[in-house]
Amino acid sequence: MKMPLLEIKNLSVRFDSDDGPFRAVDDVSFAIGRGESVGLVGESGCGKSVTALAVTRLIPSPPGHIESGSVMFEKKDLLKLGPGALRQVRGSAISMIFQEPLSALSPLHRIGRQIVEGIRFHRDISKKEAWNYARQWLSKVGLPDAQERMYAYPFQLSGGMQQRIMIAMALMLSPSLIIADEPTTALDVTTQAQIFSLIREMKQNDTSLLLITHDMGVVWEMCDRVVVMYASRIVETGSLDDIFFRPAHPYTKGLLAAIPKLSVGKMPLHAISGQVPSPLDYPRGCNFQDRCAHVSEMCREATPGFFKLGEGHFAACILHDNNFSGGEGRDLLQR
Amino acid sequence: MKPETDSDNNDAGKSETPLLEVIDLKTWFPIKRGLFSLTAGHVRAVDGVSFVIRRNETLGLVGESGCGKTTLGRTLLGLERATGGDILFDGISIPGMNRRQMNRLRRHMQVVFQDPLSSLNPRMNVMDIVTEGLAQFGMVEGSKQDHAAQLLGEVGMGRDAIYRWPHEFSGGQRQRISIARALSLKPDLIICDEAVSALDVSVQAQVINLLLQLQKDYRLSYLFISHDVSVVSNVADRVAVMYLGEIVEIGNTVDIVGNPLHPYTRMLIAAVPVAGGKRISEHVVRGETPSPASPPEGCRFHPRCPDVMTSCRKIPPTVTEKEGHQVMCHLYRRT
Repeated sequence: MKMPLLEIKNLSVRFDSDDGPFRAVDDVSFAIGRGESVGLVGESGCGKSVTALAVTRLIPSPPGHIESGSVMFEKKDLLKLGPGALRQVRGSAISMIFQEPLSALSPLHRIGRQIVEGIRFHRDISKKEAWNYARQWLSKVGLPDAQERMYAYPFQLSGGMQQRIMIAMALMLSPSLIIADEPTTALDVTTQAQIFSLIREMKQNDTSLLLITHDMGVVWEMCDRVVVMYASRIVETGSLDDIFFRPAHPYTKGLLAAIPKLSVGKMPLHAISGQVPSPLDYPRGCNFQDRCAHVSEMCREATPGFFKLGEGHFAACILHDNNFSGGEGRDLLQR
Repeated sequence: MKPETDSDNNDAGKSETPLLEVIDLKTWFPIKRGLFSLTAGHVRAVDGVSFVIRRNETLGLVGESGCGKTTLGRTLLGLERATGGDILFDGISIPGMNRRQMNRLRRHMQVVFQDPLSSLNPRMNVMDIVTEGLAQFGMVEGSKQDHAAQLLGEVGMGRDAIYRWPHEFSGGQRQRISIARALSLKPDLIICDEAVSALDVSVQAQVINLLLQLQKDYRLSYLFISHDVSVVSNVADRVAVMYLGEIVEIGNTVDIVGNPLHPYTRMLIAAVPVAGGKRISEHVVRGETPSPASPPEGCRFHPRCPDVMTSCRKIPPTVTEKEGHQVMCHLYRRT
């Protein structure tokens, strides 16, 4: 693997809710190489967005607290940076694209002014230069009548156009890492397809991407490597082919099977029975135990560690422990 | 067992009257402008739509945001006033009904909305929610508790839920409660408007399977409205594709998915990311959906159509039908 650009180690985030404290992110570690696109997938509430917010220290506190861990980015620990240094990193070296462009853009200011403000915060150039630069980027991301759009308010544009503007803003200062949190979830599939090709086109070769999504189809389109989260923890990580063709964790398998595929007629789907446990009362041991078909006594006792299945492919499931009951684990999975 | 569908014969009313027959339905919203609120034009949300739903059949309705699919559903329910056309429920015309007749009809036609939290009254407990309709129609015999428990049992929930409140449940559970409420009056038709769109895939699969099972048990008909072609293809016997207020293609699911005729249907299907499948080719999608307030002349899809011809720009296409597969496109015009 290439030298990692971002390395998250043992990150844990706690939230203090009215009903008590809970861990939204529990001991999460993964790295993103230079130029690599990593998909962080999981269902709502699994902690994927909180992980991304922790990287840029955007977790509202209170109620959130980063309990432990480190986030190394270009030889600095982002979790230890002061507010000033952090602001220099955000938007310039690391930029973010959010799900709802309408709530990420200010409703009170014209598009042009917002973009220019961002550029001038990080680059020492005149207003006029910044304006021209912004306009060029708007045409680059395929916005028709860029000059006119600079004077528009966000609400005057369609969702697809707003997201194009967000992408322009995110890429304009050539960041080394883009964090995109469900960038296409609010968009129609046809617009989504256009945004995919736009991100692919615009992303320079050494720009890394952390794509957060619940949609395995989106990961397949956009990523090189996948990190699967379930109930605050990482359950499996591997290359695109590992995850899609050799999934090892029962949750990953269930998730892939549950995706509705284009079908030529009525067909019951493969559902994962049960529900995600509430973060307020995660069970002891593996968080997936109550929905897992292969659950054993050991799953209820201790949190499973990661077992290596191949180069860069790990799963947090004792079925892959070769020592577990003399290699019985693999047989269990075959069934 | 699959419910029998008459795949070769689409002639409505050959053996029985269809449960629902929609004839040239129009729902227009006036655009008010200026000091005296003069009507400056209309948003033609639903503009001349015709289809039938037979008993025990699911019609899937797909289209992107703003295509009019939700307005169509609301018009069928009497929540919007039809501007023109007719809706026959079991042979009886709905638009001509007075309020009392309409209320009586609602027993036979129920709805499940996308966001269960906003469609379940937060100040009512689950028992009151699911039995409200029964009480309204004076159909409670014996205890409300038993009715509620029986209904919740149908959707796979326990009796212990009846005294709890909507906010205590997860999204999937809430949607089950909505379904239980819809079932309570033993309706003939349930309109599901993006009923599973807000759910995570693993739970989405559970709810879809529940809907399929209930259809078998109670010979229900569904109008299943969704933006997601893959989901629709798994639940529907027939599929209608909507674009800018019109149904551009309708037919059996196997034909729509296996042999899509309309260029828009093809674009819509090609834009769906398939996990582990072929990547979406670049430029499969052209342009953006125009505003429904000023749809393009001629064929409404012509500015985005890869197969556009001269006639498409001026002459609105008419419906061509072959073995129950209808398409509104000049490419298939009979010569």
